[in-house]
Amino acid sequence: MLYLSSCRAVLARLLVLPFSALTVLSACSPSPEPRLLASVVESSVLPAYFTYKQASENLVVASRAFCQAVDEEHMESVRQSWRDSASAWAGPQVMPFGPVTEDNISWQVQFWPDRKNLVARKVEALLRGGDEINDVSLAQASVIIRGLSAAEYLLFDVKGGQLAAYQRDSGAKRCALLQTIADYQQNIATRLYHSWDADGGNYTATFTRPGPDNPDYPDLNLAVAAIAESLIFGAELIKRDKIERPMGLDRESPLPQPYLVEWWRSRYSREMILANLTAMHRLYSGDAQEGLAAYLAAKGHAKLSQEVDEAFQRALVAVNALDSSLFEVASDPRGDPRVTRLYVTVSELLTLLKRDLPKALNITLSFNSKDGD
Amino acid sequence: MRRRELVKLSTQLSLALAIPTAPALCASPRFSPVCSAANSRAGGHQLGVWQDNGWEFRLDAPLRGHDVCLHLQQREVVFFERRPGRYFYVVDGRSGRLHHRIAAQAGHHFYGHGIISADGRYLYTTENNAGTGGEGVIGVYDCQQDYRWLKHLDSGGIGPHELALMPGGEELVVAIGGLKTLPSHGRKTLNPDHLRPGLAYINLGTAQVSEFVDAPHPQLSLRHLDVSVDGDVIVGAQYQGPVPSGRALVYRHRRGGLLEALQANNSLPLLRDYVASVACDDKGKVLCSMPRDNLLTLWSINDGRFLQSWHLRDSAGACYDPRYEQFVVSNGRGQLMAAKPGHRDLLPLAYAPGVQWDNHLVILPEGWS
Repeated sequence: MLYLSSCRAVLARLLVLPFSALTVLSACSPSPEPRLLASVVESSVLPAYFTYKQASENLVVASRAFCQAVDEEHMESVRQSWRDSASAWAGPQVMPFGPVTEDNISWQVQFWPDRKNLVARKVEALLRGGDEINDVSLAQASVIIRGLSAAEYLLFDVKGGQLAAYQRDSGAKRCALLQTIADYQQNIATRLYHSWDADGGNYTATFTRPGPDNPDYPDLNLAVAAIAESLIFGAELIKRDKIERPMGLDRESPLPQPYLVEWWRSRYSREMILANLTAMHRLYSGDAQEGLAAYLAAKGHAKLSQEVDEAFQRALVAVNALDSSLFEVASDPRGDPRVTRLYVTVSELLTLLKRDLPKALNITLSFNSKDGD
Repeated sequence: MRRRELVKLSTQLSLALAIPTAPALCASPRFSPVCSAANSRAGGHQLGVWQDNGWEFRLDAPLRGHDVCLHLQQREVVFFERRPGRYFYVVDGRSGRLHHRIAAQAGHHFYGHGIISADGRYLYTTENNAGTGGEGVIGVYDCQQDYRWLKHLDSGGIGPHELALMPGGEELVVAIGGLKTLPSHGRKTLNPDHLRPGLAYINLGTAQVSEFVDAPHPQLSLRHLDVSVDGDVIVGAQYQGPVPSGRALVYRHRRGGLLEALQANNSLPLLRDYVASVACDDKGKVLCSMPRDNLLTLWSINDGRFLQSWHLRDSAGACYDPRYEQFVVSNGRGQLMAAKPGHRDLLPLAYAPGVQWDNHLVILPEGWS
């Protein structure tokens, strides 16, 4: 904001005093914030959406192949494509800014936690119904069965996601739904990628050029805050929703609830947290010269910059140390101290991000999400 | 009148009259002036009127403000403190000069909301009677006698929050949160197993609770409401348990009936179950802000149909602006935006750098100044 407005003021003066061109150049020499924003898009955002788009394309191909040859080998191949898609979604999942926040896209991809088992019920209801399965009937169905959650059910559920379910008379319809969902996902992923792309919706321009008329980022400070808020959102999501609640570490409901574990049907919770933390760490580090870590250090917070990096490393090590999915641990009354260790490291990361980062960046976090009423 | 001037009104409250920051940009205003409480990046608190691109007037307050109500006849704005709500401030609605600073009665504190009677005689406020261990009461103040406290009425339940006048002005409707808190215990809920949230109607003639409607679930704490031109009460909930609860959060009430959920929409990415502001327009629609999910949602009141949602980071206050046929919404990032039913995007109206708008804003009516 300061940078832009002072720049604009100088430009306005230029119209009056043409000889001050040199002053203008020095006054407008790029401040670090626009470079930080451009770097974040280049090194984190675009790669994340590109990877998600590619993984979605592979899921389409693998689903087609499976439906043409319904056997164990092809099923395992489409399951693996689903896992890759989920890992690829882990990036956008922890970057809640820009087009991904529109049209309830996050729930179109992943409906979780699903306390009432709605995904299974709605998928089976759609399959039982008389309608043909195609993009039209899917578009009319609930948004919660258009994405990876429904695909997970169709690929991993102990009943609805087994090869035998595809070998019955009704199997063709099940396969049609799987393919239609894969196509729908590919559409979402392509749309998201192009919405950032300079040749498409060019949200990159919105994000990297804050200003008074920019509806999302009226000043630079708020765009920088969006990066910090994403990191905090991600750490909170992992701590509270992915670990605390399902593992019963929450004082309000101290019993483990395995069916609240993310991706419990595919036992993919551990990998998802790993992919989230990797994406967050990348968002934080960026490329060596111009990421948030370097920006912090350049602003005189080298120690904090280093501490956050180390906290990421510790959390990554802790998630790597798990050797089973959280679903198994939550279902086992003995628990696993390694989950507690992961919980502690993520909590420490969150504390650094929430307590120290905003001060160092001179940003304010959402007020109403902290207090309110 | 807009002059740069800083007037110390008391040791605790100061007034600033600001010149517009960018006069060239406000040739044609796109929204009516709004009153709101706000918090600054530096941790300060403000109350004021924002018009076009700048503060019309602004008061620096010692504590966080919450809701605002207007005294139309006396052209006054009443601002409420919140947490702890020790005072309300009555301010000249055009100059910003402080008329009164009224303390809560001994043992009481304000919950941050109030409303002026239809004839302009009384101010009604929701209060906690900590002296009796957390009984919910309605404070009655005489607007024509310097907002002198007159009496307390039974609010119908523990934790009365937002209140409104029913059409005709003979009854109040009060959202009852159900949570018992005491200043000595901070924000701790003292009755977690005995919550009884609901809607209370209070007949102002008899000063009696004429109807109490229980919330559909004891953990659905009802906090904020608005009344449509047809007398439908729309109330928003904040769930007091593990979220997401999957429960509907917005309800319609018609006298004598039960609370009816507005269409629960499974496609809404609601994870935090928290409604902050409820605002009805004059055309049968209601808008709610859900700051913890960064959402604004719009429903049709009569058939309860979900119409659309907008994403707004840290959404806060919401109010209908009839002059421009739009909802004006604020957020914790200093933005004022217009939400127009049927329009896909929010339109930026103004930006106040470093200002975090609080959860409620009020539009100044036409002809106010």
